[in-house]
Amino acid sequence: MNTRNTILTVYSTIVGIAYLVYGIGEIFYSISLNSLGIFIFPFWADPIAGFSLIVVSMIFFTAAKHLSSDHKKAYMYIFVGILLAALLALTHVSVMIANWAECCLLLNEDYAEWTWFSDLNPAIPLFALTLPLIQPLRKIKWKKV
Amino acid sequence: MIVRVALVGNPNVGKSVIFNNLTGAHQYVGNWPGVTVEKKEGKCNFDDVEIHITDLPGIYSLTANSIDELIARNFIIEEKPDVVIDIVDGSNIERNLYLTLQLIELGANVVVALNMMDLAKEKSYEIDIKRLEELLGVPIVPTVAPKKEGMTELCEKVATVAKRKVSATKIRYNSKLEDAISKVASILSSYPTLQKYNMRWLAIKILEDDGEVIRYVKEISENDPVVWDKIEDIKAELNKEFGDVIVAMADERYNVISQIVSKAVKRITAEEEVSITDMIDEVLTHKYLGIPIFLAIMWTVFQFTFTVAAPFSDAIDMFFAYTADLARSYLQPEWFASLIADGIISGLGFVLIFVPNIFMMFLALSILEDSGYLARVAFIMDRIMHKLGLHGRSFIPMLLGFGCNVPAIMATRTIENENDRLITILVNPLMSCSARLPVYVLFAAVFFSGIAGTVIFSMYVLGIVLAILMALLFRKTLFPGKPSPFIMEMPPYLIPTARSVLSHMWLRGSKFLKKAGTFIVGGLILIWAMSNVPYGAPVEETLIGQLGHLLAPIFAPLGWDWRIAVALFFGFIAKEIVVGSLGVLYGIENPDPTTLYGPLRAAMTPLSAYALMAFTLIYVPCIATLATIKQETGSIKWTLIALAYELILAYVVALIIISIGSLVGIV
Amino acid sequence: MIVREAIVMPVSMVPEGAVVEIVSFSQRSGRGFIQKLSSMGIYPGAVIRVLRNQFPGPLIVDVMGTRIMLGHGMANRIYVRIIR
Repeated sequence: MNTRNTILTVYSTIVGIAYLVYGIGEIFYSISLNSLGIFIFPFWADPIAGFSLIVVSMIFFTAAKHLSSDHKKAYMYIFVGILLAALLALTHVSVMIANWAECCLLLNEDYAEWTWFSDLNPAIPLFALTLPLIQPLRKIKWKKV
Repeated sequence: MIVRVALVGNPNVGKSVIFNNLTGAHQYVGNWPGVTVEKKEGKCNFDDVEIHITDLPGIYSLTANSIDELIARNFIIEEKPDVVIDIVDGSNIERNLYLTLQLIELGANVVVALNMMDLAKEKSYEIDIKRLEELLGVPIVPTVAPKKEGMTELCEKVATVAKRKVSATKIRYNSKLEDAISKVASILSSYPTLQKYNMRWLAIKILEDDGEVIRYVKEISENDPVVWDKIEDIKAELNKEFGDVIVAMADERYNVISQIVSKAVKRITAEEEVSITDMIDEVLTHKYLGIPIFLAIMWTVFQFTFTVAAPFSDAIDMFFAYTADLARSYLQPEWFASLIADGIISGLGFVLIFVPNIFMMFLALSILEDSGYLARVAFIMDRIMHKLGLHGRSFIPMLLGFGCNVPAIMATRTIENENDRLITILVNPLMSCSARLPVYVLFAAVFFSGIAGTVIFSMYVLGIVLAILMALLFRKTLFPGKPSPFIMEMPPYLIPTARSVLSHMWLRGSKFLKKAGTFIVGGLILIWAMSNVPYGAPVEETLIGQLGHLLAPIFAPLGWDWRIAVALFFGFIAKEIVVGSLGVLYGIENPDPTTLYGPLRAAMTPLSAYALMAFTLIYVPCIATLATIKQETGSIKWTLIALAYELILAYVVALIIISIGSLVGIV
Repeated sequence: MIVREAIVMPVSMVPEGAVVEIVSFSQRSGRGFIQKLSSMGIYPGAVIRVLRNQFPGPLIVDVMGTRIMLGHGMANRIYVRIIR
């Protein structure tokens, strides 16, 4: 059990760091873009997207912290962390699809230069990074209600 | 045969689902007379029996302490429905039976729908239904509402027992209490007017100090001191015996309940298992992570509401622009073509463009609500809300206000306390709704390009700051007192069913559309009319121009000309109209906002533009919002107060901005 | 083994995870307060568990299997004794 715990702790921390790095990165990226006079609409999208990544990182760090003492609690954090990561990834994918619709279905001129890469966001691969953590979760017995 | 049925039960037990299952499309939603509580009625047919169902508010007991309870119990007493269906949460029997016992006290013809049997099973409860029926003395029908299980059996049982007479009930409390109850009951029986009510229930209520019952009985007995002295004596004796009769009654009810439950319900559970709900709550209600997580989730909601809905909006926009062009090309005479194309089609299109946004927002909110998360939000935000003199439950309407104030104000229904509710409603329009955004975007782009995003953000912040100030102000002046006690049940997390989410979304969305839609379309046609009479004349000479010149002096100190004045005037109808009408006023046919840049720069300075943005934020809720305020508060007085204070506040703030700006040297 | 602490305290001061027995309500509690709480399962003699306590914020308690949120104003007026 102890080696398993250690592996989980390490992995959890790695996931946390990854989200943290990209989260901070996204905030700086969006701020610097903003000051160039490029009006991002809705104006609040990007820095808060980065903020959300940081939030997820905090969840995984907390999970890692609890793994040494109360591993049931830690699993709770991992569980919610994965859910939230999924939600963020899903949101970004939906935005991509919506923008694709604007560009290529509606042929909206504002989106003339849009490509799939314009909207690619770290949230998506980061979510994939969290997936291996589902495995240890399956081992817990939990009640539905 | 017609059977009249009332539906009662605790909140969150699935009452609405059962109501919908039974009545389907045959529903009518209104209000209970004189109050703003929603009243739902419906019909369903079973065999040759027509069942009329009235949905009563979700309540925990039948005291006189809240409007919901009074409505429910008065309905049962006065309207005397043939059957009262009590919906009980099978996974939570003990607490739910508290209401059941009171219904039995009332002498109602009760049929229990034991709902959420699937959850009960998950919680490892084994309920012996036959035994439970025996002990309670009422028929019980197990149901699983979302899967529509048990509905036919329920109707069947209702039809069977509908016309039976309710004899004395099996439930008896301890001897001392029963003694007192029968003594009071016999005193009451000397009044023939009271005979039509259930004596036992009246007696119990008198012992429990029930305000309404005591008032009524005093009236009937003409406050006869002999009678009331006797009653007081009985009460005093009970108090000596039990300390506090009210507490004693509650205690005794639970006593009876636990005896019943111990005989009819078994639970096999391992203490060690953790429920998913607790797991999720551990994180979502975490002291420090709770709020950030909430913000992240809100971000996803906004993304869906704006960005993901955008292609749909644009598609609708294109469609209406195309149709308008067609109309213009093919219709004669020219003024008629203009009426159809610029007035009606554009007007309609203008409203419908928002449909994807609104429905997306309602969809997201329905998911959050049905899953149970919104209750947690009230918890997380309670501490902050408390500093404003409100509580957690006021937060959600405030949040909704950022989308649109109409559903936000409707959402204040969940706030029980009148004062808290009024403050939340009055302050709500300061939450910058999405209709104001086009105005901000336009002026920010014209005057503040480069820092446009920040300027718009500052508007939202200004709104929040003002809302906080006004809330504190109202709390100190108009509604002194502490916020009412806050107690709320948190349902377990559930994956919301597509059916319920979509139906909620549809219900709220369509209500909003009907309201806003009629006003906006009407308003736009009015504007078209006023700006085209006489047809073909330059703008200044049309009706709209005349109106503008009339209003201009009021706004002169703020640096705004007559066109702005008129646009603001029409913004009263719907704030979205402000941009559209500016287009009309500057003589531009199909307002592509960029063509307004030139004329606007010539007409105002950045300072007065900023003041204008602030003014738009604050002044007057749109007509749809005002109508909602009137509907929810039920009083013209508060609606007018809302209107007045906002106008004044808007003017003052704009003036302050201009004054400070000029003093500091900004132009 | 059930350890009964003799100290009676407002439930707002009870740590997370503790199981408590309701002893009484504050003297100033009105009829409405008592009846509302009773109808939700919180009455003298009832046993509840404190799930979340973010003093000075609201609490979440487990009452007969239901989660209920209590504002701290209310929590200050409910006196309990820790059982576990």
